[in-house]
Amino acid sequence: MDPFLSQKAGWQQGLSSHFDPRIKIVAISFFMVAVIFTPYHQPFKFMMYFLSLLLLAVIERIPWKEAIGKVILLGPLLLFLGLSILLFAKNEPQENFDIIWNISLKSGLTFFSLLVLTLTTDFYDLIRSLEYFKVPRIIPALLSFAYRYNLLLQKEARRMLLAKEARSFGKKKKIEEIKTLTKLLPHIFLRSLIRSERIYAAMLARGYRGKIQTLKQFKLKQTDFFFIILFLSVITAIWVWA
Amino acid sequence: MKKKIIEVRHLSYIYPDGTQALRDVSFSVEEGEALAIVGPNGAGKSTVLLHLNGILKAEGKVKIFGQNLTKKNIREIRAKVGLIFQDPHDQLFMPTVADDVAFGLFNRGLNKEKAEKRVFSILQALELKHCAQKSAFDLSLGEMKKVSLATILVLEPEILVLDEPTMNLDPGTKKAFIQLLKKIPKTKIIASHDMDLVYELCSRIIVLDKGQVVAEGEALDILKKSQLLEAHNLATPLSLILDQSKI
Repeated sequence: MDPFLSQKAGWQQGLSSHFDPRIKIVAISFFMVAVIFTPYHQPFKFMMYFLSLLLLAVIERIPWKEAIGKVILLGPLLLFLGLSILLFAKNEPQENFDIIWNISLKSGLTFFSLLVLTLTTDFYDLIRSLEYFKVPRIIPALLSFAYRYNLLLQKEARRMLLAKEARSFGKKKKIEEIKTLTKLLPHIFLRSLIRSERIYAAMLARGYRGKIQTLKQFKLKQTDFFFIILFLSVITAIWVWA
Repeated sequence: MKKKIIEVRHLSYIYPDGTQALRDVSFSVEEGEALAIVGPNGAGKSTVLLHLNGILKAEGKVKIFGQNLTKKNIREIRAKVGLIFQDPHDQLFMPTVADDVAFGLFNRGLNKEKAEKRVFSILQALELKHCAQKSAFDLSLGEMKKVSLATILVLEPEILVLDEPTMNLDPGTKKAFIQLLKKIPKTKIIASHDMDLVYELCSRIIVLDKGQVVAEGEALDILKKSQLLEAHNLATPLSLILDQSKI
């Protein structure tokens, strides 16, 4: 199972998977701010950022195979961005390369930091933390439902594909397969819509009034304070280092 | 004479797409009885159930405990009528089983401590404590059905409304689930075309077809009318045939 979709992703036996998710969100947010506001012509600082994040990732035992797979996904996006800048920006070539370097470096590091966060924290804990940070209620609720029903929709889509396969004879051209797939998409959306209506009805039946609460309560521990102080100190030290 | 706790009079409902789902449906339910609403697919069974909890509103009258369903008393009515949906994936939408069971309690205004206590006591009663921290997606269908039941029982409703409770269950799980339902001493309204379940659990039957009540009576009387059942795509339960052959 894709660890991004698995509830067990955050239950790995890493050190910080036991840290309070709110602390981790604060730590990673601070890290991203530091990365973004560090001038790009200070490669040593970026190397230090990367090493501190790498250390955290090693301690947390993130699943490297999946993490690398996700990082690679960023490649085509950066390539597209880079080519666009090179082809269309009316700057000096050196200036263009600087912009590309700046974007690649910072987006790569922030993306990696988010990977460390999501791969070591239970997804629902992240959502609950968003509620704690007063993100409008509708956003955590939507994320929670999307996560809960993602696998179910995948399962339904797979069943539909299987039914289609069972009625296909001989090899089809790729383009025809893509056409069939696009025809399936509206059906999947329709099913999702019908299901969402049923879920809402089930919520109303149990007295839903617009607020979703869970039993889990976060409690800050000494280790949480130790982690956040240490992490923020290291990142601040790198950031302000002349 | 027992008290009538549900009265449905001249209920008609048309879905937004123009499909007439119910036509002049009338029936009543007495306290403590188990009523089955049977009928073929698309007969309107689920639509009737959704009216009992105020999720759908239509022409006609629905009285619960003598009160007409209105916007003002809808919360009070929903507290008394516990509705269990056909597909447990619709009923179980929270991160964990425990959160799902607690959902209704929080909506009733219970605090975390009280809610947690009641959640774990109901999970223990239904032998589901080991599932508490699991996601519904990780459960078997039988477990999901039991958890769906727990989400309603924890709210201590006076009436249990179940939509196809045994659908897709294997025979063993189905039998166990029926036994579990039998043990619950509440008024039950069960929509199903599983006639074995109806035979085991229900004392009275309403046959619904094309949105209309086509027959109503004591469970055994209706179940013995094989022609009536076959005319509405139903069948005499095998367990009844077996019991009769023993006699």
